[in-house]
Amino acid sequence: MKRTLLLFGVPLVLLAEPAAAQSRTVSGRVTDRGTGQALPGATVLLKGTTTGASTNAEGTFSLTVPAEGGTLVISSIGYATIEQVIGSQSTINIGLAAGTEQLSEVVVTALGIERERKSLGYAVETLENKDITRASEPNLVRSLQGRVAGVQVSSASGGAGGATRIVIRGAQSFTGDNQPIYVVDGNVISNNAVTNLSAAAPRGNGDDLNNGVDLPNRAADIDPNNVESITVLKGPAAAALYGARAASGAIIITTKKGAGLKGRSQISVTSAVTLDRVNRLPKFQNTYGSGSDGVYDPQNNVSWGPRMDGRLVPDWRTYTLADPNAAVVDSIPLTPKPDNVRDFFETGVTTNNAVSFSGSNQASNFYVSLADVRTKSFIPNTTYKRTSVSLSGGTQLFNKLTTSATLTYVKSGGDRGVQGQSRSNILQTIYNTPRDIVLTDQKNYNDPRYDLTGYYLAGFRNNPYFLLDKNLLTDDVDRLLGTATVSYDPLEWLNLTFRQGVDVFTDRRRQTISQGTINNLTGRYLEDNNFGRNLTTDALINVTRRFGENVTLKGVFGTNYQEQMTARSVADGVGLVIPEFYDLSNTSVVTNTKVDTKQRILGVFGDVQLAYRDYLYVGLTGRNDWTSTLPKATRSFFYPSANVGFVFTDAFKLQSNYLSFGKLRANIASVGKPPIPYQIDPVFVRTTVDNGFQAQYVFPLQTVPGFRVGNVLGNPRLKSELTTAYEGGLEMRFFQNRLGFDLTYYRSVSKNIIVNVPVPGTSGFTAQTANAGTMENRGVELALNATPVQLKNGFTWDLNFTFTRNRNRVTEVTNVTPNIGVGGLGSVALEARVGQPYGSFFGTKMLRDGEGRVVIDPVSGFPRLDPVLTTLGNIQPKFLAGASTTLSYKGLALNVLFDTRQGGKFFSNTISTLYFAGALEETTANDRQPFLYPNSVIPNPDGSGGFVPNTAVLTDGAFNYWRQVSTAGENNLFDASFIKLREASLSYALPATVVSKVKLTGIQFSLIGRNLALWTPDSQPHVDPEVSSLGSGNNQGYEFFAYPSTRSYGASLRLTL
Amino acid sequence: MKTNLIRLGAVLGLLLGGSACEKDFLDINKDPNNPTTADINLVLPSGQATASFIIGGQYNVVGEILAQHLGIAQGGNQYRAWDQFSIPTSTFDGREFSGGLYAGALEDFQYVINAGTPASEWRMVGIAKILKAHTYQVITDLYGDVPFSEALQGSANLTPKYDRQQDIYAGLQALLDEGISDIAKQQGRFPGTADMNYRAATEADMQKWVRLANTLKLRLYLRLSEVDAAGARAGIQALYARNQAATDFNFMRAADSYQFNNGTATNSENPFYQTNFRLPNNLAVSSNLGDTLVRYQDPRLPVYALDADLTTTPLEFLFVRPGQNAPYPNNFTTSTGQAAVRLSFPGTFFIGQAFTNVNRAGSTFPGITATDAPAKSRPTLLLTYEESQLLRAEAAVRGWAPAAENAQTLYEAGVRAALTRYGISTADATTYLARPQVSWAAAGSPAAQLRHVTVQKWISFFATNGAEAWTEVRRSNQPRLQAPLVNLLGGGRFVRRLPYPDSELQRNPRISDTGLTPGDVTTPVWWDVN
Repeated sequence: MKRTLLLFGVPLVLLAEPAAAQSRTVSGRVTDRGTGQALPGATVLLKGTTTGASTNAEGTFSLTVPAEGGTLVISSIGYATIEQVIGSQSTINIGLAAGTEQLSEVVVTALGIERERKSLGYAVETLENKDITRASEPNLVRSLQGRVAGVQVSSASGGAGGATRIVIRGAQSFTGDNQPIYVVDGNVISNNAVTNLSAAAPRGNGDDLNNGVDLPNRAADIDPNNVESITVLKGPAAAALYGARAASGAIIITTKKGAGLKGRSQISVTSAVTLDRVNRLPKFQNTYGSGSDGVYDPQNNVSWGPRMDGRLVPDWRTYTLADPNAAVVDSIPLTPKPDNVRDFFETGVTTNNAVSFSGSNQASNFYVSLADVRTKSFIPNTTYKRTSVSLSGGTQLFNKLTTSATLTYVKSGGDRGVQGQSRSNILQTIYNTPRDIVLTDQKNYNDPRYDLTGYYLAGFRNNPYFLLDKNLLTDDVDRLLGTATVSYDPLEWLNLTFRQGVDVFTDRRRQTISQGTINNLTGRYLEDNNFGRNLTTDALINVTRRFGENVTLKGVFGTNYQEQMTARSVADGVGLVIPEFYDLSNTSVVTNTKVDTKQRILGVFGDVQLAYRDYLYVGLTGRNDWTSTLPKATRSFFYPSANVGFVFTDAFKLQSNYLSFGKLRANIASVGKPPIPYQIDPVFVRTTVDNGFQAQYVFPLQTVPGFRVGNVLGNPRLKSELTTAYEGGLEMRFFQNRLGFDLTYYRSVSKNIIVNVPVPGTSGFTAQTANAGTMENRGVELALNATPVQLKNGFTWDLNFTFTRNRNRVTEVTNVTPNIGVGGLGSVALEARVGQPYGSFFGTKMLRDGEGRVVIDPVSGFPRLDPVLTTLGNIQPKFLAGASTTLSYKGLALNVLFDTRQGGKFFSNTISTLYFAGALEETTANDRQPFLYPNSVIPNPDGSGGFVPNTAVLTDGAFNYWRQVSTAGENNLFDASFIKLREASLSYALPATVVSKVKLTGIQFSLIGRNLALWTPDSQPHVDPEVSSLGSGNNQGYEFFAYPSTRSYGASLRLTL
Repeated sequence: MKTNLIRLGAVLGLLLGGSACEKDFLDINKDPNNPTTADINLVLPSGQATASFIIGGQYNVVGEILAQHLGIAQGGNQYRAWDQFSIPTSTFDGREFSGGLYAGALEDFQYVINAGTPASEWRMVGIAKILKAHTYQVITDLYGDVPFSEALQGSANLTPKYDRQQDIYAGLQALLDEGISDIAKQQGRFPGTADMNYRAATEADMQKWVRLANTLKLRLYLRLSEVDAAGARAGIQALYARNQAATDFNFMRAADSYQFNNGTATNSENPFYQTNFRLPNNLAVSSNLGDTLVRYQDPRLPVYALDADLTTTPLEFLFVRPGQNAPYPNNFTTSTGQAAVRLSFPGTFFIGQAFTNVNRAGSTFPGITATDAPAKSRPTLLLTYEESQLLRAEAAVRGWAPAAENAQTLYEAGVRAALTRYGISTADATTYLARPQVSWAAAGSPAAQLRHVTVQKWISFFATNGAEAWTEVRRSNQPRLQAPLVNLLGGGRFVRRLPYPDSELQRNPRISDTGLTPGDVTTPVWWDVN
C-alpha cells in the first residue's frame, strides 16, 4: 500500500511550483478531532509547493510560508485531509477527523488494485474500521446499514448470528444470486447460505419454513474488529474486473495488517458488552380471554373467549389432569396477562472482545489478533458464538520482492431454535397463547400440568420450553481463510503480483427432535454436513508509465481463476429407539441426501487508466471469462467497460474558499453472469412422488431403486446473463471541504436472464432452462457530508446523509408466461412479472366497486373476494436513507445513526395468524359485535346489476370476520416502511497526559446502543418489517413468526498500548 | 518496451495455460448429484410407482367422491369442494396431470420405449407400451381430449396438439397391440424386480402382461358401447378370435390382477391409506353406496364401513349424503340410545386404525385390527381379476363374445372373486349371489343383467379404483347418482369430466383445439353419450 502511495506522491511533487521568496512562520498543533489527542507524524504542506513539515510527538509543527496568502494542506494516514487558508493567522490548530473524505484517498478497487479515489469514473464508497465497530455490531454486513448509498441490507430475524442479505442497486437476476461477492484481501470468499432441510414436517414436504432455523450466510464469519476498511463496488464498471461473479457488485474487505505503524508496536484491546432485549412485539389485546364464540375454553390457543373480567373459570393448568367426572374443578379468575409474551423473553447478553498485536518497520509488518463474540440470546437456551484468530504479515525480501500472507481461522455457530410455520415453532406457540395465560409458569415442562400429556395444548402444540430445551439445531462452523502474495518489481514501472487465496469451511449441523414433538412424535435426528472450498488465483502485471509531462498510464493485465465447490450430505433419521439418544444408529429409518457442486471461472483481463495531468482520467477495461457452467459454444464471453473522471475544479482552476472540489464522472459497462452449475444437461432424478398432502412414495421403494426422467429440459444453447449499465456522477465539495455531496445516477439493463421457463407438462417436461427475461434498474444515490460547526476549541459537528432510490421494472419474462415465480407463501406469490418491479406480490383482493368501495355479500355479511387475481404491490422500497451525526469535543464524541426504508410491502403471517387467534388489539374492534362495514356496498338488490351503498347488512365482528380477513391476500400485506435509531454511541477518550501515566497510548470508553428505537406506520404496529423468514435468498418480503428484532445497549472499552 | 510487452504476453500465456488446459479445467459441469443416464430398468419402476400412486391416490379420491362411494366427513374440509362439485382448474395440476402423469409416469414409459427400442429390449419396451396405454386410458377417461400423438416429445414439440378422444382410443388399441407383439419377440432382458407390477422374470410372467393387455383392450372396447357399439363389437370379436385357442381367451387369470404392491415401511404405504392416515377423518361412506350395501345385505358392509359410534354390536351405520354440508347427523342416536359420535368412516382395511386411536382410544369395535399393517400394504388395484370377469360377462351379455363365454358363470366368478378379496366365506358369497338384487336368475332381461354386472363392478371398486368407478358410472349411468345437497355447479348439473389444469391453459395454446372453455367440467367426454 505504501508503495502505491509513493507512486502517487512523486508526480505531485514534480509538478510543484517553486516557493515564494518573502516568508513568515506559522505554527500549530494537529490533533485527532474525535479524541483530542495529538497526532504525531502528520504532514503539513503548503499547497502547491514542496514546502512542508511533519508534526512532532506532541503534534506540533512550524512552517515557513509566504508573507501573504497560502493554504495549508494537513494530512495524516487514516484521517481526512484538510485544507486550511492561512490568512493572517500565525497559529493554526487543526483537528483532523478520522475520515472517509480524503483528498487523495486511495481506495481498493477490484483485485486489490489501489487507485486514487479522485481518478475513478465510478461510484465507490468506503467505510473504515471506526465506522463499523463504533457500536460493536457483531455482524459486519449489518454494520453497512444506513451508511452506504445504493445498498439495501436486510436481516432474516432478530436472532443472533442470523442471515443477512445485501442487494446493491437492485436485482439483476430472477432466480439467480442477486447478492454481491465478498472479497477479503483479494480472496473471493464464500457467502454460502445453506438453508435448512425440512425437519419439523414429515420428510420431502415443505420448505425452509417448516424448519425455519435462521442460519447465517457465510459472510457473517468475518469479525469486524479485524477489518481495516470496506469498499463497496456498486456497478458493473467497478466490479467488471472480478468478472462474472461480481455482476451484482462487490464488497471488498481489507483486513488489518499492522502497516503504517512506522517502527512502533501496538497492542490493542477492545471489549464490549451489550444487553439485548426484545424490541418490537405485536400489540396484543387485553380484553378477551381463551375460548371461542365468547365461551371460555381452557384447552384452546385462541383468544375469542369471554371478557377477562375476573370471573372464575376452570384452571387450564389442571383441567386436562382432572377427572372428567369430578363435580368440582379448580378455578381461577379470568384476568389479562398483558406481559405474558414479553416475559417469556430473557435479556440476552453479547460480549465482543478482541485483542491485537501489531507492528511494522521499514521492511516488515505483522498483525496478530484474537477476536471473540458470544451471545446468549434473548430467546431462552439459544446461543451464538464466533471466535477468530488472525495472523497477517508481510516483508520485503531482497530489494524488489515483497511477500505477504494472511491467515484467519474462524469458529462459529450456536444453538438455534425453530421458527417458521410448523407446529414446533416456538414463536407461534408463544404469540398464540391466550391472553389470560402466563407463559413463564410453564418452565418446568416435566411438571404433569405442563408435560407432553398434561399441557393444555397437548397433542396440538408442545410446551415452548420443552421445544427450546429439547429441539435445537446446533451449527458448528470451522473456517480457514488465507492468502499468500508475492510481488516483484523488476523495473521501476513494472510490478508483477501473484496471489493465491483459499477459503475452506465446514459447517456441521445437528438437529435433535425429541420424542413427543408434534409432527415428529417418534423423535428425529438430522446430521447435515456442509463443506465448502473457494480458490482464487490472481496473476497481475501492473504497469505505471509516464508519457511526457502530462500523461500517465496505469495498466493492470492479468488472469483470475476462481473455483468454488460445495459438498453437502444430510442424514435424516426418523424414529428414535432410545429416547434422547441422538445417533443415527438409534433411528429407525435414515434417508441420505447428497448435494455437491463445483464450478470454475477463468478470466483474462486488462484495465488501462490514462491520466491527463491530475484532472482527467480515462479508464478502459476488458475481460473475457470462460466458465464451466455454460456449454462449450457459449462458455467464453467478453465484456468491456469505459469510464471517465474529470476534476473540473483542477482543470479550470476553480478552487476557491467556497468551491473546494468538483468532479464529473461517467461510465458504461457490461458484465456477464453465468448460470449456476448443472443447467445444461437433462438429468434423471431419484424418484419421489407425493400428493401435496404428506402422502408419498420414496425410492428405493420396497428395495427397488428407481430414477425418473427429470422435469427440466436442459439447454445446450444457454448463454450468460448480461447486464449493461450506464452511470453518471457529480462530486462536489465546498467551504474547504466542510460541505460535500456525491450524486450518482445509474441505469442498467439485464437481459438474457436465465429462467426455468415453464412448458406444458404434456411435452413430457415441465420447464426448460432458457435465456428469457429482461429487467431494468435505474436509480439515484446521494451521499452528503457536512461539518456545520467547527470551532477553534475543537468542538465539531459532522453530518452524513445517504439516500438511495432504485426503480426496478421487469420488462420481459418469457414468451410463454408473463410471470416467473420467485417465491411465495400462503395465498400470495412473489413474482417477476412483466411491467412490475421485481418481487411483486400476486394474489387475491377484496372485491370493490368502481369507486373502490368494498362489496359485502348480502347473505353472509362478509367482504367478497375479487375472483381475478392481481398484483398487490411489491417488495421494493421507494427509497432508503441514512443519517448520522457526530458531535465531538476534545475526547468526547456522540454519534447517532438513523436509517429508514420507505415504501414497499411485506407479507406478515404473524399478523394474519394473530388476527385468526384474536390476539391483536384490532380484533377487539366494535366490541366483537356485528358492525356495518364502513364505506361498503352490496349488489343492487333489484337484480339490475351494479351496487348500492350498504346501510343494513351487518358483518360479524368476531372470529369469522377475522378469519375471513386473511383469505384475501391483500390483507396479509403491510407497509414495510420503518425508521430506526440504528446506532448511538457516546465515547470518551482520556487525554494523552492521563493515558501516558498508565503507560498506554489510548483509552476510550463508550456507551453504545443499537436498534434503540423503531418507528413504523400506524397501520403496522406489530412486527419489525425488516425481518424476513426465508433467509438471504430471493424470496424476500415474507415474515412468518420470525424472532423479533432486538434493542441492544451496553458499553465498550478500547485500550491501546 | 516492445520486447517487454512480448515478455509480458508470454508470461500471460503461460499463466493461462492455453486452451489445452481448458478441457480439464472447465469440463466439470456434469451433475454429480443426479445421473445424466439411467438404465431403463431403473426408469420402468419409477413410472409404474408414479402412475399407481396418482391413480390410487388423488384420482382415486376424486373418483370415489364423484362415484358417490365416499362423501365428506364431519369436520373434513380437504375434499369438500369436490363433493359439492367445485373442481377448479388449479386442481390435479403439477402433482397429477402435468408433472405426475405426463412429465412423470408417461415420460418415464416413453424413455423406456425410446431407449429400449434401439437396444432391442423388447420385453421392457412391450411392458412400457402397455403401461403407457393404461395411463393414457385413465387420463382420457377423466379429461377427454388430451395431447397424445404429439405428446412426450420434449423440446421437439413443446406445445403438443390435443387429439380427439376417439383417435386416442384407436391409438391405445394400436399401442396395446404393439406391446403384445414386442413381448412376442422374446428379446431383451426380463425386468424381474424392476417390474413392480408382475416382477416378470420368466416368459410365463411376461404372459401376464400379454393377458393384461388383452383385458385392457376389452375394457377400452366396452367403454365405447354407447357411442360406437358397432366398433366396440367388431373390436371385441376380433380380440376373441385372435385368442380363440388360448385358455380363458388369453384374458387375465385369477392370480393375475394388475396391481401395485405397497409396503408397510414409511413412504411405501398405500397412497389412499397415506392420505387418510395423514389427513384423518376427511372421508366417510356415502349414502349412495352405503344404502345399496344395506339393501343388498352385502357381506362387505362391515368391511367397507365402520360402525358409527365405534361400539360393539349392534352395528350402526350412518352414511353421509353427497354434497352434504351441515348439519351432520352426529346428533342422531343409535338404537341403544347412545349418541353417534361420527359418520361411518371407510373400514380399517382401507385407512387403518389411525382415526380410531384419535377419536376413540381403546375402542372395542371388532372390525378394528391391532395394526395398520394390512391397510398400509394393501395393493393399489388397477385392473383386477374380478373386473376382468365382469368385463367378459358384459361382452357375453351383449352377445359380443363367442358362445363359449357364459355370462352367468363369468358374473358369478367376478362377484365371488370380489367378495373373496375381503375374506367373505364361500357360503356367504353363495347366499349373497342368491339375493334378488344380485341373483343372475332373478335378473331376467339382458338390461337387468347388464345392470347387475355394472353395479357389482361399481361396488367392487370401493376405495380402490375411484377413477374407473366414476368413469363406468358416467358410461352406464348405473347406479344413478344422487343430486348433491349443495351443488356449486347449480341447476342439477353433474361433473362429467375433470377440468384442464392451469399449466395447460396457460402454456399450451393448442388447448383451444378442444373447443372447451377453461374450467368446463360439465361437457361429457366423447364416449359419454347417455
